[in-house]
Amino acid sequence: MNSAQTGEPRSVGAILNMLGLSGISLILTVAFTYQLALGELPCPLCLLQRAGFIAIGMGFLFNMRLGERPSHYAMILIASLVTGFIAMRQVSLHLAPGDPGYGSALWGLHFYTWALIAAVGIICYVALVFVLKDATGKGKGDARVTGFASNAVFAIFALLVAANLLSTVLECGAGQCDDNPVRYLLLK
Amino acid sequence: MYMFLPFLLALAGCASVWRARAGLSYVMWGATVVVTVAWFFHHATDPLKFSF
Repeated sequence: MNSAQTGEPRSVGAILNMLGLSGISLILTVAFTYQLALGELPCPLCLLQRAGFIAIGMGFLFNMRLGERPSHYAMILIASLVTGFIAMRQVSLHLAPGDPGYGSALWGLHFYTWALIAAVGIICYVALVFVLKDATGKGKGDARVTGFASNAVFAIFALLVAANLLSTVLECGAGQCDDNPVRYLLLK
Repeated sequence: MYMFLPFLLALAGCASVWRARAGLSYVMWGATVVVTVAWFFHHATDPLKFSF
């Protein structure tokens, strides 16, 4: 049984997990928009940060579709730490005075800096989810979330993962990417 | 070294979730994270000259 079948209102956890996955999809969409609109190809560390965000999104997805479990939240936290660490490494590479940084900036900050902020923000978000779930104390913890909204959020996320896979294959082929890629390897 | 591998594993994880195969989904998530970390150590070769 799931929330759509029983007709019960969605739990706070279910809604917050859907919002979390939507947020991850938004992050991936912004990155893709800059890649396609401005022709800025992601560097290897940028791609690994995207993979980290996708791993975070999978944790939210597990909570939605396989039922809410503490281990799924642990997956979100582990993936957030990995993503934050990769982003911190790239921030450190461009920290020196006079370094223009890699790629364009959004509201004055480069994307790897935003990735670090987002990774820390997601850890805070999970803490908020725990507090709100505890405060409301309603809903079945392990109920799966289905229905149109859930399917739509799932489909958008899966589409973005597939698009990243295709883009990375086009950019890097079957090897490793250049440190400063300027063209798609398979679109010469 | 296949740069696309983390995305391929994640997509396989999504497909496993769609088919409600929890165990396989967890394996794919774990593989995605392990490969991401491994590729990170492969690429993070420049020394950082910081002192704390």
